[in-house]
Amino acid sequence: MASVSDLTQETVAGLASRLRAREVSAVEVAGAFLSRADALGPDAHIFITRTPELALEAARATDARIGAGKPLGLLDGVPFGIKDIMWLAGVRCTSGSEIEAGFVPDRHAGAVSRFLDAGAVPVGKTNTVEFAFDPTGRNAHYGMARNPWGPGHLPGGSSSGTGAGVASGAMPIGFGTDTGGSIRIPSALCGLTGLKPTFGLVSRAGVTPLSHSLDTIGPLARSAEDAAIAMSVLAGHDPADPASRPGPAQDYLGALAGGVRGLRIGVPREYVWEVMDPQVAAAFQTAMEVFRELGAQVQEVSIPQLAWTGPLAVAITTAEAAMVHGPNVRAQGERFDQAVRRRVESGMFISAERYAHAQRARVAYTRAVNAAFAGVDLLATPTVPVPSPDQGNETMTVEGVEVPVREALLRLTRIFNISRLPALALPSGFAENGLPLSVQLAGPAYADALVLRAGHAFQQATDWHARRAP
Amino acid sequence: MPELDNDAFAAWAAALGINASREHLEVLRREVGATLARLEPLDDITVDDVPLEYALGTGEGA
Repeated sequence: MASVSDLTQETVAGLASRLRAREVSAVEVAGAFLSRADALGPDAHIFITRTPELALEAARATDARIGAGKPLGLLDGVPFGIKDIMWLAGVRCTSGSEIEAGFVPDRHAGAVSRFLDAGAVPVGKTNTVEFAFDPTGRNAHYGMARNPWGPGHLPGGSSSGTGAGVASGAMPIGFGTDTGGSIRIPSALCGLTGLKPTFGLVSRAGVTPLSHSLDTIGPLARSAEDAAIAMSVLAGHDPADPASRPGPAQDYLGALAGGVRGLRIGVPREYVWEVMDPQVAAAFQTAMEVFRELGAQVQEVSIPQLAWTGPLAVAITTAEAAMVHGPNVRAQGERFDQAVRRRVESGMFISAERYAHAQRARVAYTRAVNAAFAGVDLLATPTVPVPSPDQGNETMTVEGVEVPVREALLRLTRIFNISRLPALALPSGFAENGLPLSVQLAGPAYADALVLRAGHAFQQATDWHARRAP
Repeated sequence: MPELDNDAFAAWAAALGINASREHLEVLRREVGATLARLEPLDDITVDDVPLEYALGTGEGA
């Protein structure tokens, strides 16, 4: 019989294979992850609400299907976590807030439905920054998820519980949402592989919005292959999401074997390197060398419009957050995390004219990023320009430049929210203090499968993604 | 943002429906000032070739 630690270290692909081979039962798999979560305890702040009964019920259903020789879903028997801004019917959805602590949805989010229909096993609702409006992982109401690579360091957010949970062995995969980097930042800081899909590719129905023109849903996982399995289940049209645009069909799993030989990878010359820890830069260069050895061509590209990244993201996200959360802030501001409250309130001061101008500038920005793809197949940057910062700091100094921690975390991931393109965070090494480093690969719209293919090729040649937290 | 004293800012906030303690408004005034200053570079971006309905309606940017 497989040991608990053995199972909780597994990838989705590995678990699915062992379940199909009847080497282990789904109830045993669920039990292993539930035991691991028990052992981590509430101080890990991975979950806001655990769902062990639902997990065991779903696992028993998988075992019954296996026993009866019925066809299995891609995720049959695989445990997963659900960021607590996504609905799981009958289970409270706090959105990381005190205000929504009593809200119990009567249906599943579209993305959650797809995972459940594929046989996945829900182990709980994971911690999130209040209304997903911060990249650090801080939560004044439910605590900050513990980054297993460095307990005194930030887990990253806003999908902090899923990031810490997958890295700690409480689940092999989980949901995040990404408006400015909220999948990729915790993936980078917790040593995971995380995909922000093309905008519109994955349903947002049943998910608390933050910024309706930028919000996306995607997986935090242990490999690009696992993210590809998730995307095979998640991608598709949902009429319940007005922004749903599935685009052309993509073969996420079939594409994985394609490798990167002959692909051209562009590295932006501007903006990216203005705030950069040398360890991150060195790991990035080593990663580009790996891609060269695999047959890709790495070249510089020029996108001067990247300088607009911060102002565009702030204008759009802050104004749209005020559109959604303004009424609650006005009525119950004292019940918010006060930093989140002020961020929402700041959005109320952005005029409609300025917001509309920012949206027009966003289109111009997107055209400029898309133009870069005329000469390359993928873009690459580090995911986050620094290793995970210390939890106590609001600002940090990077090569003599003092920057707010929030801005440092967001500055590179935001590029692909504003341009609405698919972007993948991949583990790419470790800093001297043992904290994970990450590289970001992005592609044109609806080239999610290509991005995952390149990530998989990288992970066939390296083992950074296979390292597990102590 | 024009330089506003606390009273002027409090009046602006109240017009937006924000009724909060003086301490909160003082911190918020600094944060709003920083946010609006951050957006000023957007004014230099030419968007004449992006029709409004493309950005806010059903076109390529929507």
